[in-house]
Amino acid sequence: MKINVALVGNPNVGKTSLLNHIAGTTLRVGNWAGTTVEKKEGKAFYKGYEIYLVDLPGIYSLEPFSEAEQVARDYLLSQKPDVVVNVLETPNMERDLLLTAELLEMEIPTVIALNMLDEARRLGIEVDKEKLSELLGIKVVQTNGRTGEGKRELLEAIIQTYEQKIKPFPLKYSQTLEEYLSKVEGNTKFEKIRKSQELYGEDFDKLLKDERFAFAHGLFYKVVKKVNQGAFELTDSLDKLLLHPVFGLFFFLFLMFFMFKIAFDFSAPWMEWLDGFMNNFISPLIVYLLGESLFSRFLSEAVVGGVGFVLTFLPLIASILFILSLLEFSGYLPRVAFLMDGLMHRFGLHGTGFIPLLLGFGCNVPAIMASRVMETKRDKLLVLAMVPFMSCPARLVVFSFFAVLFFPNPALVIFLLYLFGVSVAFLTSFFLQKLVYRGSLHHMILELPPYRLPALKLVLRITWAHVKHFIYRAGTLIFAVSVILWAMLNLPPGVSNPKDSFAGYVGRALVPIFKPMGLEDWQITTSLIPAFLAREIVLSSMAVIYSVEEGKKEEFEPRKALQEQGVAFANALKESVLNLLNPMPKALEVKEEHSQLKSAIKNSMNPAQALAFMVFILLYTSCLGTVAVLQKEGGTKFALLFLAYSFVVAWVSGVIVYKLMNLLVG
Amino acid sequence: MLEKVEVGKKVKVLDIEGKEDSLRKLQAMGIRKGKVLEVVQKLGRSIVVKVDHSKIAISKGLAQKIKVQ
Repeated sequence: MKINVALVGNPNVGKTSLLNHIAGTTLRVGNWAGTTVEKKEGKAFYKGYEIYLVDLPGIYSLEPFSEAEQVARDYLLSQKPDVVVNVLETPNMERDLLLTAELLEMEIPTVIALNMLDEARRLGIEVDKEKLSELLGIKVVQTNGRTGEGKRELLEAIIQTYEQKIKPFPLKYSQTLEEYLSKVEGNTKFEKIRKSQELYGEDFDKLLKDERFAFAHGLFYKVVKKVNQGAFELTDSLDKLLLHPVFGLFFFLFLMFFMFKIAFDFSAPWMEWLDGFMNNFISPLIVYLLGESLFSRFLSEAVVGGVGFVLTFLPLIASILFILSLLEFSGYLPRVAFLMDGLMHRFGLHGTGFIPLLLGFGCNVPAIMASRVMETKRDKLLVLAMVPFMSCPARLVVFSFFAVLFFPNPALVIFLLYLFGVSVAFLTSFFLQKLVYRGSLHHMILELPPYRLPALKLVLRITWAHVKHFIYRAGTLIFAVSVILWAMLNLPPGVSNPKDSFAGYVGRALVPIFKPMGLEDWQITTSLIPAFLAREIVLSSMAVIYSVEEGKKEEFEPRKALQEQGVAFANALKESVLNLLNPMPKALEVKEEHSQLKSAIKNSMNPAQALAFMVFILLYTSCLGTVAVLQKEGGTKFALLFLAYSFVVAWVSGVIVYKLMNLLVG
Repeated sequence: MLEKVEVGKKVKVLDIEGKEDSLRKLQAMGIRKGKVLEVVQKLGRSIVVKVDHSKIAISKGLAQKIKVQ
C-alpha cells in the first residue's frame, strides 16, 4: 500500500531535515517540472506501507506570490496527496498558523508536526499539543528535525490519519464571512472561498485576510504558553557582528576566500588524479584487455575520455555543494543577500547572486548549480545567463598558451580578457532586464532564520543527492554528446587523418563563418569541435590535428600501471591537505605544456587572430558540463538559447577584436 | 514610517498601506497590524526587523509603506 504525503510549511522550518530523517538514503533532489523551483522527495517503509513524501517549496501562504506558492498550490489541488503534513516552526507558531488555516480550508486529511522542539524549549515556549489536536480535530506530533526525535510518532500519525481518513473540523469564521460563503456552491471551504473571491472582490478579500490572521492569533494564544520571557537568543548576538556594515562584510569576504580556497585547492589534486586514472589507467587497460579495435577505441576514447573526463569534476562539485549546503542550513546564506545587496542592486540583482558569480571564476559547473540559492525565478535565470561568462581555469589554460606565444605582456592580455568576460556578463544581464524581465527589481523580502548547527549527515546527504544527479547527467546527456563528438572524429570507418573525418568536413565547412575573425585554417575550426566537451581540450585537439604531438605509446603493463595509480593517489591525498595549509589560493596557477604545438601555431596565426580566437573561446559556452547543468537548472529551451546566444556574442566580439587589432597594428 | 526608525528601537505596526503582493507576503510572514517590530540593522537600501522570533530583511521602499508608532 502506498501513501502519498506532502510536506507543507513555511521556509526554514526544517522540512528538509525532517524528510532526511524519514527518507534516509532515498532522498532525491530535482526540479519541479517546468520550473526553477527545487524539488526534494523520498520514501519510507513503515508497517507494511510505502510512504512517499514530497517536500513542497517553503511558503508562507498559498496565495500565489511567486512560483513557489504556485507549485505548492497546484500540487495540493491536482495531485491530491493522501495526507498533508503541515510542518510548523514552534517558536514562530503564530506566523505559521496562517498557512495552517489555509490548509484547513482545503479539508483534506492533515497532520501537524510541531518542529524545532529544541529551539522552542530553549526559548521557554510550551505548546499544549493535546489541546491543539482537540481544537482542530487532527493529529499533532512534536518533532525535532535535527535529531530525528518524533519521527516514529509522525509516521504513526500519518498512517492513522490515512486509515481513518481523519479530516480537520470545518473551520468556523465570523458570521459575516460565513454568510458570504453560504451564498456560493462548493464542496469544500476552499472552493467556496475561491468563488467568493471572484464574486465579491476586494472587500471580501480584506475580510478574509483579517479573519485568517485572527484565527491564527486566537489559536496561538489558546495553545501556547510562554514560560520564560526574554530568553537569551544566540542568533541576536551573532547578528550584531555578522550583519554589521563593516565587520559583517569583512567576515563575508573572508568566508568567501576560505570557501574558494577549500573547494578548489582541496579538490584540484583529486581531479588531477581522477583524470590520470581515467586516461593513463582505465583507457589503456580497456585496449589492453580487448585488443586494438574500433570498439575498444570507442570505449576508451568516447566513454572514458568523454564521460570520464566530465566525471573528474566530481570532487569539485562535491566540495562546493558541501560548503554551500553548510552555509544554507546554518542560516547564513540570506545574510549574504542582505550584506551584498547594495553592490548587486546596482546591476539589478539581489545580493545572493554574488555567490554563484564568484564561484564562476573557479568553475562554471558548480557555480551554475549554486544558482539554486536564488530566491526568485527571475534572479535565478539572470544569474544563469551571467555565470558562463566568468572566465574559469580551463579558459586560463588556453589564454596562457596563446597570450605567452603572441604578446609581450601576457598577464595584461589575460587580465583584460577576464574583465571583458565580466563586462559581457553584466551587459547580458542588463539587456535581459530591459527586454525580457522588464519592470524594476521587485522589493527584497527575505527571512533571516536563526543560526543553526547543520547536521553533518543532512549536509552530506544533500551533497550526495546533487552529485548523484550530476552522475546521472554524465551517463545520459553528456554520454550522448561525447559519443557524437567521437563519431565525428572517427567516422567514416578507417579514417586515420582528422582531415578526412566528418569533423574535418564540418571544420572546413565552418571556415567561412570564422573567416571574418581571421581564422581561415580548417585545423583551427576543426579543433573547436572536440573542444565542445571542455575548452582546454582545444589545445590537445590542435596538437592532434596539426599532428605535431604523436601520443607517446608506452607499453601498458597493468600491474605497473596500478602501482603508479596507487602512488598518484597517495600524492593527491598529500597535496590536497598541503594545499589547505597553504594560505594562497593555488587554483589559478597554470602549468606549461605543448611545447611543440607552439611553433606550429606561431607559424599559422598572427596576434590579431590569436586575440580574436581567445575572445571567442572566452565567450562561447564550449563546455558540455556547463550546458548540461544549465539545462537542469534553466530548462532545455533556456540552455539551447543561451548556447546560441553565447556563440553569436563570441563571434561578433571576435570579429570586432580582429578588425580593431588590424586597424591598430596596421 | 518604519524606514525612519533607528537601529535598536522597538515600534508597533499601526497600518500597512497598499495592496501589492509584496505587502501581502510581509503580512503572511508575520508583520501584521498590532505587532511589535524591532529594527535590528540597516544597510544601504535594506533594513532588518525582528518580529516575534523571526528576522526579516526588507527593502526600504517597502518599509516606507509600514506605518509605525
